[in-house]
Amino acid sequence: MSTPTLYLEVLTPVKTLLSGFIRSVTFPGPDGEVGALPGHALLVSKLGAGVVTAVDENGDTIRFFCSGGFVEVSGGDIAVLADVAERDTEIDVDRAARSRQRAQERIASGRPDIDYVRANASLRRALDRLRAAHR
Amino acid sequence: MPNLLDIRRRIRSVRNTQQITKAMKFVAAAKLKKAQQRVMTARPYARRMLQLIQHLALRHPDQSHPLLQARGDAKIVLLVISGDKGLCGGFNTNIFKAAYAFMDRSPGAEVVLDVVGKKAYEHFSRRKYNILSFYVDRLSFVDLELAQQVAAPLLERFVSGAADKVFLVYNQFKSAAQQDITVEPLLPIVDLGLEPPTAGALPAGVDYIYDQPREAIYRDLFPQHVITQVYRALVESVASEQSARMTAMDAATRNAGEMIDRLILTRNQIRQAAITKEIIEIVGGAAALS
Repeated sequence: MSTPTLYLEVLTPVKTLLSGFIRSVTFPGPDGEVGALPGHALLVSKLGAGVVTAVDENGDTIRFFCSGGFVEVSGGDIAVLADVAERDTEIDVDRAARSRQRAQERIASGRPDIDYVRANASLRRALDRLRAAHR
Repeated sequence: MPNLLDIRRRIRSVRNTQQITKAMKFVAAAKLKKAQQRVMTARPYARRMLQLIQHLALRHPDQSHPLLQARGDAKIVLLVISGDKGLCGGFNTNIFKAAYAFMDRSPGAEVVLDVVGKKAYEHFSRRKYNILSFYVDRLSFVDLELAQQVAAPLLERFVSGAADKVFLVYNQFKSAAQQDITVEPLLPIVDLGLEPPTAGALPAGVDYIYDQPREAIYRDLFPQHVITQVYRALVESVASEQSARMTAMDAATRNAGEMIDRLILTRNQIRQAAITKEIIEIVGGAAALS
């Protein structure tokens, strides 16, 4: 017997990160996490920034860091069209940790010449990357 | 009769040139491999995004998004993608020719150029063409950011009405041996290659769930599509340039080889003629003595 599956493609303009059958997937929508199982209704959504999590046919979890884009669920296919995406195994954890620290320091420093929006965005990206890389 | 020393010098010079062209060929081959890889990895995203837009357009043919509005064709922007460097056969000149042909085909329209690549910029600015913006020495590293920089002013111009249409002329990468000059409409987003839903596909009547208002999705989706198209054209052009250069340098290396062969033949003939002449003189001298 076989469990029902979905065909997931995780694509960025520069690279195909995943193309294969999975059991389920969750992705960050603009208003929170969205999950899809086989048989999901047709859906078009924007992709938020965060972590895309997929469970493959063997029950293993695959994670991606992503920041913005689109998701289309049509029939048994799901396409994640991300602006930027990184596979969990390819994330540079040290770099993300350094960038988290730098952003935290910048925000904590309270200096008036700091661009808070940028520092916050950078911190969020770093945290998302770390979340995608760790379990 | 040409001088023996001159010919030797000539052979050495041609041989040096041959070594350079051979090295350039190998460099181009290595770069081509990388560029080809990028073309291949850029295609799935572009294809899937087009598919998504088609799916949406199929369900909602009544579009009011500004990027879809067809106006006249009085003001046209032509985005010309050439190379930054020469020595690649007809790669750049073919693009210029295609651009001229395009302008000839649209009489009455005001065509302004937007150029990527130093060669096109030099060519058209010297001839006093109206150039909107130019991107020079950027092709050694093509990324999405460059595509965004190129696309953003075009989108703005189109939406504001300063341009009625935007076209794109570039070398499409077919294979290492073949590049096709392609002229494509970029804006408005019109020709989506809509096909009636094939058998087995979901009926077009079944609509999607939209997690956000459709307009909000379109607002991001269409510009992203245009950027993707520009990016794809840029990578294809870079790959085409390298393959054109490889072919050109291969031909140059072969021509140099032929030239060397011919020169060596001439050199040997001259040398032989000199030896023969000397022998005749010696024999003639000996005969005179006896």
